[in-house]
Amino acid sequence: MDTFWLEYIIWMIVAILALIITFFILMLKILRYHNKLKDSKILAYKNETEHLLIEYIYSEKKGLNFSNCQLDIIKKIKNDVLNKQKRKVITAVFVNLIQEVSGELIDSMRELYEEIGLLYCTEKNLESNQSNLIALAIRDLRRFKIKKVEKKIDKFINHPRKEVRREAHLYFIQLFKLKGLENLKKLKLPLTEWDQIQLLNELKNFNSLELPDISNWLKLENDYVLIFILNVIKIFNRIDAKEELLDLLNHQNPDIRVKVIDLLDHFEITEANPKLKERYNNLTHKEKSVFFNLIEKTATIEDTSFLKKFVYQETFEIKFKALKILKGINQKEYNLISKESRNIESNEIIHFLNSSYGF
Amino acid sequence: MDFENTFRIVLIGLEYFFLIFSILIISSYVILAYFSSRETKTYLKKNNFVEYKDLLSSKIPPSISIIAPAFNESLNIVENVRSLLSIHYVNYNVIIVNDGSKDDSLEKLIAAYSLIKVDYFIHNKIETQPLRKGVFKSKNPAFDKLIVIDKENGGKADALNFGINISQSKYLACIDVDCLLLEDSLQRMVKPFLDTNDKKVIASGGVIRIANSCKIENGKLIEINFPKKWIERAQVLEYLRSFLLGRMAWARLNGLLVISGAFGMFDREIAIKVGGYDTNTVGEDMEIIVRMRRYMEETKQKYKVAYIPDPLCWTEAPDNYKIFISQRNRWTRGTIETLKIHKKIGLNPKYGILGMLSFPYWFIFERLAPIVEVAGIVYFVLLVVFREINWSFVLGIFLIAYLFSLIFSFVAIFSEELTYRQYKKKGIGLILVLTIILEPLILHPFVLYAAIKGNIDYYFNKNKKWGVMTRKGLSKK
Repeated sequence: MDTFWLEYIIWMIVAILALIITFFILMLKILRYHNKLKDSKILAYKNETEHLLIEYIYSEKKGLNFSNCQLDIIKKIKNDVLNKQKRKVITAVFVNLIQEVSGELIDSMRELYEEIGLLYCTEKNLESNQSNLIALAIRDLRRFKIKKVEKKIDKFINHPRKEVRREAHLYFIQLFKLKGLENLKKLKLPLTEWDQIQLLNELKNFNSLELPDISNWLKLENDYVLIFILNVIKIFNRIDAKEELLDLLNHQNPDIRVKVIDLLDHFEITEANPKLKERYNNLTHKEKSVFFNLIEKTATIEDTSFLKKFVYQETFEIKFKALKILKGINQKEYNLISKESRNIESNEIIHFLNSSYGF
Repeated sequence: MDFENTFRIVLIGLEYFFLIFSILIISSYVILAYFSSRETKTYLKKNNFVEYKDLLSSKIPPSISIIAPAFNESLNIVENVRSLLSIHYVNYNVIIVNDGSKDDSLEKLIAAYSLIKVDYFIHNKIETQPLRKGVFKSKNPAFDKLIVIDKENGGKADALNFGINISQSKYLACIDVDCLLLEDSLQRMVKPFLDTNDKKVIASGGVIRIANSCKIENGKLIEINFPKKWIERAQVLEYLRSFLLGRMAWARLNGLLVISGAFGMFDREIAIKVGGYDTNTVGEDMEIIVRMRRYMEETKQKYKVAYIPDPLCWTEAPDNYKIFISQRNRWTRGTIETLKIHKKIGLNPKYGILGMLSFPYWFIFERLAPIVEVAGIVYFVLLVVFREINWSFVLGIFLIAYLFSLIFSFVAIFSEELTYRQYKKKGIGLILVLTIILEPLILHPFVLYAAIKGNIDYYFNKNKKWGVMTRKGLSKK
């Protein structure tokens, strides 16, 4: 009796699993068919929308009013915007087109964006609970250069999700330039390297001279923003904040100190050398490494005694740099070391430096 | 009478053991499928509006070295290197390590890329075999990113270590030279390293896709086709299951133990700190991840091993059973070696998820599963010979196991169809269904055989190393 029931249960499970698999086979068939149909519909709709939008922007207005042709197009697209899938396609087509047109045509497209209700839908998404929808909405508002929602976006600059924060800051920088950059001062949360790359990309469109006094920025408490500004200084070659930079050598965050030494190296500022030499033993490995880059560019014969300390000790990288610099500034001392050296690693470096112009 | 009782108790014990093992393995798959779907959703949500192109025009993206070891790859090396040189990223170089090839790989590279020998000081942070003919760079500025090293043969791990020694980049993308990387692969792989502040990303791994039958021209993937041979088709399914379900779920749990040797990115500093790849194992790709994770746990640093589900890397899979078995045999030995080297981690709460979840899972469901399966088959044969069998019962149990395996394959295929949809052509749907139905019959027995052979070779044939992977080459045009 027991075995009977066990067998019964087993075969019931088999039957259920077989049904599930049959269902899966049908589902797969339907899913693939549906996907294919969706693809072809989307493609057709995309072409149609593209055609309509081009027709719209090249139709002439009747004075301040829309022409009949434009009104028809608005009516048609307005209906489609209510459909989520079509809205996605319309937005994508809009984004592509707006990048290809210029001048008055952009204004015309922006007007249409608002008229057909896309702006309304995007603004609605700003109220969503899903961070990806908010980020997407901000991205669209940025792409269509909708400035009037500034206040709504402002509340996202310290949003807990980094994707949203990033889009909010990109929005401000792209649309409000220097005024938008000021919003970074309000940032209390981190900026990732990825954020920095995106923000710096936006800043590329600025004229270096438009940038306000950098020195104020170097007093900010958010280390991430500080690192970002140090990158800005490097990219825009803004050497005007030298004193503030030197002060930052005392910053408690080693990443910031490394960035500062790297900047000093970039601008070949030698004022910090004595200070850095003095506290050399307390520097982190990264600080030491970038400091040697600075010395490499600025070294004079007076640096000989400092460099000699490192030709036998320290890490390979420092040894290599010390010997290389020494060879450049004091050949006599370098030759002496070449003869006297008993350190295998140093000898290998010396041999390489003597016999090669390589890497 | 006593003997008979004891025997019966042993038999019942064994039956319960097999039953519990089967329930555990099925439950683990259900749980992994759940986590994988969550992770896939999160990934797509977070990344569907990312503008990767910003990396291309920026001045600050970190440097990346692509390290590709090559051993007797003369057939395709020129095209493969061309493909690597055309990747879209600002700050990268390509280091090809010719690992003592006996063919004319080096000569072909010299001719194709106008290479000349250069003086190059190499600091051996990791011990490797010495240089053979030297380091080569191109006279042509168009190939400025290329460095070719010709060294004595030391195996894949040794060649990768040489590349690590020579690289000065912040990140290392270690790949198989015959792999085809998509143009935006570096941009996508480096993102987790740049977009994480709260912990250090030590490595990121990508999905490996099978390129057999795909149309490739001048190192670029032109057309995705479903393979023609059943062994290749079954592997496509197996890879989808493994990469879209298994690894995705482990990524969610931050418990990934392996990043495919075909394409993985590492933080160079950590890779050097742990001593690079282990040259004494054939599973160096898994071993280095476990060692890096172990290092981070022991030094109490917050870390993450990231995973990118986008189809970025396409490779050639074995198209015959001999090579397939040899490859899986090596994977088995690699797993055994890695688990043995790092046995201290297992069930050690000091190592967190790594010790309490990932490691035991791999030990039970990857290391032991084939042995348990074979033991089950042997047990079944013994029952057939010595005892009366209730065939209806047995058939039912077999069907349950078989149908469950089909369900997981279907889940993987649905995951693919709802996300990346790489196989769009008409008629592939039916082939996929047939592949799902046949895979447990045409591939699994060989996987099992290779795993058992791997175990035997590990214990009784210690000299066996990599085995031969004969490639036909991806570029047919």
